[in-house]
Amino acid sequence: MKIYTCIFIILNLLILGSCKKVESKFPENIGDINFDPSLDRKDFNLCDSKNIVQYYSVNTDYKDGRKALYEEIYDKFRFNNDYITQSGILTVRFVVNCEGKTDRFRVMEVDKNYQEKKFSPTFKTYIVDIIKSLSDWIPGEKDGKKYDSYMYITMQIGDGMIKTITP
Amino acid sequence: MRLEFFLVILLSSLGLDAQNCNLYPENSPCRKACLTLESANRYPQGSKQSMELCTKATSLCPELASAWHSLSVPYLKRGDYYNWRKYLDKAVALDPKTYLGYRGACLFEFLHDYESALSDFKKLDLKKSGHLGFNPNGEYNLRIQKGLCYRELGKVDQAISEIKMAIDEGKAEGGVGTYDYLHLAVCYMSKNQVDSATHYMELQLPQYPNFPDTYYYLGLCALGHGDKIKAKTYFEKAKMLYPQNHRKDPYVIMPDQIFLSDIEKQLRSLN
Repeated sequence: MKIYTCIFIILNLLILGSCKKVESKFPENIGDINFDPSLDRKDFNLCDSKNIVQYYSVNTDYKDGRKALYEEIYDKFRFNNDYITQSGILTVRFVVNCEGKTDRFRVMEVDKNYQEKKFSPTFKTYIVDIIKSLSDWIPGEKDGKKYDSYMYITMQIGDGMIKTITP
Repeated sequence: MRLEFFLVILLSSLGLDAQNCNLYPENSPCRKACLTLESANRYPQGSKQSMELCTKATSLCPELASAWHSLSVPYLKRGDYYNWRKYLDKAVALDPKTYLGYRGACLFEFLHDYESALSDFKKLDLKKSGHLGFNPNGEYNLRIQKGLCYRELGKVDQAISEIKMAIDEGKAEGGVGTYDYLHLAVCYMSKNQVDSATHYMELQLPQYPNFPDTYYYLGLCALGHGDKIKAKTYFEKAKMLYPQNHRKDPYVIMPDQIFLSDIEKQLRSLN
């Protein structure tokens, strides 16, 4: 009886040892942006790096409202004939920290049919630089507490021009 | 009936697809999937736990449209439109009557993709007779958004026709939408039909008495009639009401939405 118990235990240990931990294909939260030393500022402060919330849950805003934000983007954008072939939907997602500063810029790109596509790297850099230059953010706040939050700006690009900005 | 509509839309907007799991046979894969989806809703939307449970629901019952919808929502709210459409399009294919209108509304509100949104609304119109349903936050009869798509695409007469139809639907159901008359009035303003615009903007007033946007547009109507004194009064009223009563959708700028800068610009031009 003892030998059968030992064999049973050994077999179970072998089975457990051969099991690989199943990694989830999802991050902790959809849309999380992890610090990347090759892209992000080391001196970018977060009030709580483990709790970066979404813009809509804490009303992250811009001075004079989102319309003023989009108008500033349009004002700063300059058409360049080098980008005349650029068309699709370009989204820049980033963090607005509890002090109203921004960093951790990432780009998502689709065509007008919402399929993956790649914009030209220099065009993307140009657009991201415009977003980086925006400096009148109002950090998200709830119940008197300011939060770090994720924000995004989507641009419909047509023939190298910004057609619309949302959300 | 309108309360039930509102509750379904409210729960859907929270990512909680209100459905009765008892519709599926006991112990069936789809009943288990439905219950799994309910448990997903106990976790924050977009969290790993929620997404894993939604994914489990789709593997138990691939035809459960609400599970695909639940997977899509966090991506929309984070600007990841590729993954949003990857999941939502499955929900639309499985249950077009429920999700065509939702997709159209999201295309309209989040992306200003009026062509694609209108395409969805038209397909829905062919599948459903009468009322198309409401947008995710319950503020709009989808036919209003269909009309606004036409307007943004330059087809103002068709826009007016759809919005009037939506207003008639609202009246038959016990209430016109909060902003319906305002959007109709703005359509007439775009055609420079100031008398009609004023008429419908005045019908908007009792729908939401302290709404600053109404007074702003009445100010524009007054300017259209050449009455600068009346216009100034309206703009000043709009400015006074703005701090406590302006539109505050957390996700998007809503159609015809006015900002304080718009009001102040008009007042400066009159001084």
